[in-house]
Amino acid sequence: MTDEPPIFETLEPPPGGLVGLRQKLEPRPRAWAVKALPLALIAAALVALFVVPALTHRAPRTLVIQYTAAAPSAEQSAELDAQIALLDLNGRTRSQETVSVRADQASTTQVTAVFESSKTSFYLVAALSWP
Amino acid sequence: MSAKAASADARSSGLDEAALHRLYVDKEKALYNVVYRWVWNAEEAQDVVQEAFVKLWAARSRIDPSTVEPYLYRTALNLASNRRRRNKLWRWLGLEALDESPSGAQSAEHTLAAEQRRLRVREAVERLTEKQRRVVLLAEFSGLSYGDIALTLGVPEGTVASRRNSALQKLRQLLAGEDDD
Repeated sequence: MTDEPPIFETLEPPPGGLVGLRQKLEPRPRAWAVKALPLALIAAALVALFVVPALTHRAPRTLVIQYTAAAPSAEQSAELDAQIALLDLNGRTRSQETVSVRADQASTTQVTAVFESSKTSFYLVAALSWP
Repeated sequence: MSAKAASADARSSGLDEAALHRLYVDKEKALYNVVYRWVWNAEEAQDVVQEAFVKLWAARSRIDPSTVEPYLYRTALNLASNRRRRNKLWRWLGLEALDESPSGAQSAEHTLAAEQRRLRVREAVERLTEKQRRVVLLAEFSGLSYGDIALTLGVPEGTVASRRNSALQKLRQLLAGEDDD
């Protein structure tokens, strides 16, 4: 070994090093939350854009409505266009079909209409009317 | 607890939190002195040392207990090196580097001389290559053997010796040249 003086002096670290280490070793939920927030927002946006529509989308269903009504007496032998409508609970017409009906001698006739609807739950009432 | 006991704790079968704390108390000063010569800022150096221990804690199950100390030094050096490259440390190095001023009991003349000496050492250290700096600082402060320094840096033991010698020679030349001015 040489007798040359040391090049480096030994420095004392700032106080509180162990306390700082302990703090860093503690779980930091806030930091995790901050890191996770953008991911959560992106995930929520993706869910809203793609997942929810995919899950809630219903293919149109075929809805067969049969309605029995009294045929108009004046035109019992005529072939008529009858209109059958689907109404919602508020009485609004949500869908309407025109059906060709042959009214025979009977006092009633049966009209069958086919609707395509993806929201069948709204349609609870069917109504038939003669034009 | 002695330094050997703390290291033995770390090398034992498991590193629990108490052992980690003891290891920190034992190794903080040496690590700090190595890292400080990398970042030249007291708070930054302490932060790097703490981060190295946090990484050690996170990786404790994967680390061979016999290599805890080389792992610590390697991690601390890499963290310090990354910070130095990444952030804008260079911009606020100047006066920050002097923040380990000696106590006020010393005379102003002595303080000034000491600070000038530190600045000269710092400038000389900055003129070493990164490889030389790693070796000379580890050899100076870590207390690791050449073998452990070689393990820390992933170089042959002979390379550690030659780099240390060349680094010390360069430092002495630089400091002697400036002292002559």
